[in-house]
Amino acid sequence: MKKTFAIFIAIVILIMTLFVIQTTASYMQYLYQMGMPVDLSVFLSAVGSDLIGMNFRGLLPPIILVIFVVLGVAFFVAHLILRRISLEKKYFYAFAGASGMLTLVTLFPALSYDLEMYRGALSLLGKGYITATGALGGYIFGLNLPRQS
Amino acid sequence: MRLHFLFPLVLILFADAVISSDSEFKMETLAEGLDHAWGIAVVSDNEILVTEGVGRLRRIIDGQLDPVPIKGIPSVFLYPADLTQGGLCDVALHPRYNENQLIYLSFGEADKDDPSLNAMTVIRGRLEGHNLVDVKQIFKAEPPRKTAAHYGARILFLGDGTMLITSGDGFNYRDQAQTLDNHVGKIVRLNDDGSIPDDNPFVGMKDALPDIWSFGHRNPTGMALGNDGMTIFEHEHGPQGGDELNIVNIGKNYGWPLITYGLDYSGSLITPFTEREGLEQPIKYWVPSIAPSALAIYQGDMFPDWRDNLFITAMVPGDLRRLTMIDNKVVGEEIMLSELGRLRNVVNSTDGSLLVATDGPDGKIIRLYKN
Repeated sequence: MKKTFAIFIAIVILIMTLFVIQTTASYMQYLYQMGMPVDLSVFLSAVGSDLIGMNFRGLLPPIILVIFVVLGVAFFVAHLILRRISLEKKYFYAFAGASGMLTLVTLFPALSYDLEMYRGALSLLGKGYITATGALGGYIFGLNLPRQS
Repeated sequence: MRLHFLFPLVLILFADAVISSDSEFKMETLAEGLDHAWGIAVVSDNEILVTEGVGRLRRIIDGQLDPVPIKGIPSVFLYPADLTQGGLCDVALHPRYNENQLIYLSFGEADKDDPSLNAMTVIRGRLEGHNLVDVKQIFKAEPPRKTAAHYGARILFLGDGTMLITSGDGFNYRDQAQTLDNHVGKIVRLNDDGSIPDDNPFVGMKDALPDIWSFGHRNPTGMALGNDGMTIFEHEHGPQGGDELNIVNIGKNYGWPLITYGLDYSGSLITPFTEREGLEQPIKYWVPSIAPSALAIYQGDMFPDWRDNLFITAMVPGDLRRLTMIDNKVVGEEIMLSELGRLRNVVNSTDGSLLVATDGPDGKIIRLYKN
């Protein structure tokens, strides 16, 4: 159980980091296209700032907490289903993770009058990327689960 | 011993200082029960027009709210249930209102072809008793948007008879504030009939809309003409921090979203840059945000100390800001009326008093006056 929780926490941190990088990248790409002096150091500095900002300075709940809840619910539901149905764990958790993240990026605007609070999820490509991070997280989670669980 | 040289030093020392209120004024409530009061237009000594976000235009006559709203107002787009933005917004009088009774209204309007979209629209109509007649659309922000936020929607007549209209970035569409082929994050200038003045800065320019006056704005909800008749003051909501007070000049780029002093609501950087050549700087900005909602420059004689001061209503936490100016620089800021909650508008009245609108479903019009 401890090992499962540790894996889960590691995956939440991984997905949060990928989420933040994508958010930063979407801003920096626009700024670069508009001729602003964005280089690698500016980008890395912005990623560092966003890792802190999106967890401690936002009006929204900390992104790590949001992802913890989203993936926690998704993986718990997957766990319940897997107790009844025999499926390949890594693929089913990947599906669950993707579903959870897709729900996050589609439900959030629906609950806030279509306002896209997570800028990285504004485009279809961004939504796809974030969904894919959920799938990646689920895949790694399923792959590393102890056999008995 | 001449100490004149100390005067500028003292001003610098107290520049931008938030000072406590010691102004003596009284308050009286002219009207209450207004459902999200937004725009105010003072018609005469005894008549005031007030818009309500839900789509009503009301009259206050001799200090009494007329229970019958004015008829003939177009239906407005009301998406958010709590109506914090959009709906019926500003009301402005034609400079020769006494001759023609023309008024202008700004509001969010549902798209006729696709009701899931809406656009900030301005109409002109003639007030005839309790009716608005001869209604004509004179502006519609393009393209229509899906969101119901950041409309701008402030109307200001200039000394030459033309009018400025602010158009917000619609929240999701901020990138378009930097391109000139749309009205997202722009201030436009029109003639009083909606036609486009020939001397607008982008007339004849390829891929630019000819009605644009300035660009790179976020959600400019306040605008006022300085008492010199030339300087245009404008304020806009920043994201999380970075509310700005600007002096708006023809054809200039005010930087949003390339530069800002605020963060996104998620806490991420919108941009790491706060300045850049070719992008205008605000004359003042607020971190954290005060959510400025309207702007007036005091013109009366009732409070001689307030002459030429800028008054800004703020919604977070809710107060009235009196900014003291010297050479178009803010040298002092006084916080007033912090007990009234979110404030939506402030205007000069004809007798030198100030009228302030409170926000919310039970909005009030409050008069600040001196005995």
